Amino acid sequence: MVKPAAYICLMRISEELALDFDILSPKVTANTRFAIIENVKKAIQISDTSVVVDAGRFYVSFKGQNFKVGELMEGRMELAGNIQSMEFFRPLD
Amino acid sequence: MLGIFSQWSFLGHWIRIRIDGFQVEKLLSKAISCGICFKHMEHISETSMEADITAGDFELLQKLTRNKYRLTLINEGGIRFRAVSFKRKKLLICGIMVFIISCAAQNLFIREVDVIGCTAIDENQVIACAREAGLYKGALKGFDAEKVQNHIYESFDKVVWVKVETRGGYAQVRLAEAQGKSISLKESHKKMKKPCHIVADCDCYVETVRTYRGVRIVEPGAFVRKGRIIISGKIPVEMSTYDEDADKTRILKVHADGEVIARVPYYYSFYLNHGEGKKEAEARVRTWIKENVPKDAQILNKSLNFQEKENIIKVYGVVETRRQVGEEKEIIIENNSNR
Repeated sequence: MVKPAAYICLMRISEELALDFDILSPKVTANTRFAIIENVKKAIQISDTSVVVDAGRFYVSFKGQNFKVGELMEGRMELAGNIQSMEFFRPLD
Repeated sequence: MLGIFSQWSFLGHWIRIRIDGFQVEKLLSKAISCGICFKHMEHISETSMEADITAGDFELLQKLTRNKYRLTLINEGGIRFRAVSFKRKKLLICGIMVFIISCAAQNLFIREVDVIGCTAIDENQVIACAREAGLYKGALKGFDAEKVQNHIYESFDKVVWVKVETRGGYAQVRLAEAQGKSISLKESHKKMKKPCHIVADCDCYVETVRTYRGVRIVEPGAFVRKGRIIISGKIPVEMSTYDEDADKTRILKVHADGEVIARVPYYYSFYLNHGEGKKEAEARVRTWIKENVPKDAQILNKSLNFQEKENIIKVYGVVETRRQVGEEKEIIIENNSNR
């Protein structure tokens, strides 16, 4: 069954709204030199080569070199350095 | 919204701290949950980390650390912190104040007075004259330069031009002295200041009019009454410049000057007493002339007439003189008059 275009459009808007107001999931804006992670609840590991933070439902892990945390306030983390990989994972209960 | 306040707090007073202890991340997690903000975090080793926090957050972080972590203050900064630390340095403030006052003193007061252009006049006399008008070492720079100029100009007869200038704290009096006679020039200049007419001071017959300044109104030989204008101080001037109205004739008011020679008749009459004759009459006429005719007047002619009526003898006649006539009459300048 083919869904109408209006239905698809409404679905997209609702998904975007859900993403904007979701405070339990990690939100990441990143490139290879810089990353902004929102909804940070805990800092699990911070070092030169890796940064792991608890961002609600998922942990976010960055691997790379010369990491420096520019700002950490109100659940927002600014990370600078050579980012080589990024990973979302759930902790083992 | 809170982020803006945090940014302002960082601008006001920030502290660079070093956190030492096992699992620094646990402390960070606690701090995040308490709303403490970190900036410029740097990983030093497995057990230590450096970061910037606000002064308010530092107290909160100290409570969180308890005995598990060690906090070391490395550096401090911010506008509020600088202001407070600056306030403590009283000696520095005093030094800056002294510097500002000395700068102000150099800029507000006259440091030196120099006179240029003196040849015959002593420089010290000029400096003393300037002091009387308010220009001296240590005087405020807001002195009246025009007043000083006028005072020097009027005090020294030889000075024909004077200019007072200030360059920084240095006052310079430049003047030029006259080589020849300058007194008469100045006096004439002073006289020229007041515009006036030359008017007849008595009824007379004008003989000659020599006009030095102004316009001759009366022709030689004419009879003029007392108060009539002989030389006018109003000179009509035709403007030749493009910016002025070419058709309009303007009046230039000057201090009229000239010599007016006129024949002035003096009329006399008196009665002779009983027993008096011609000799007594002539003597009385001479006395009358001495008393009434000006000394500089040249007596040209005199007549002596007798009239007898009912034993009373009346003596009358005219003394004709030649003398310089004319007096200054100030021109009243109206506000709407052309100059």
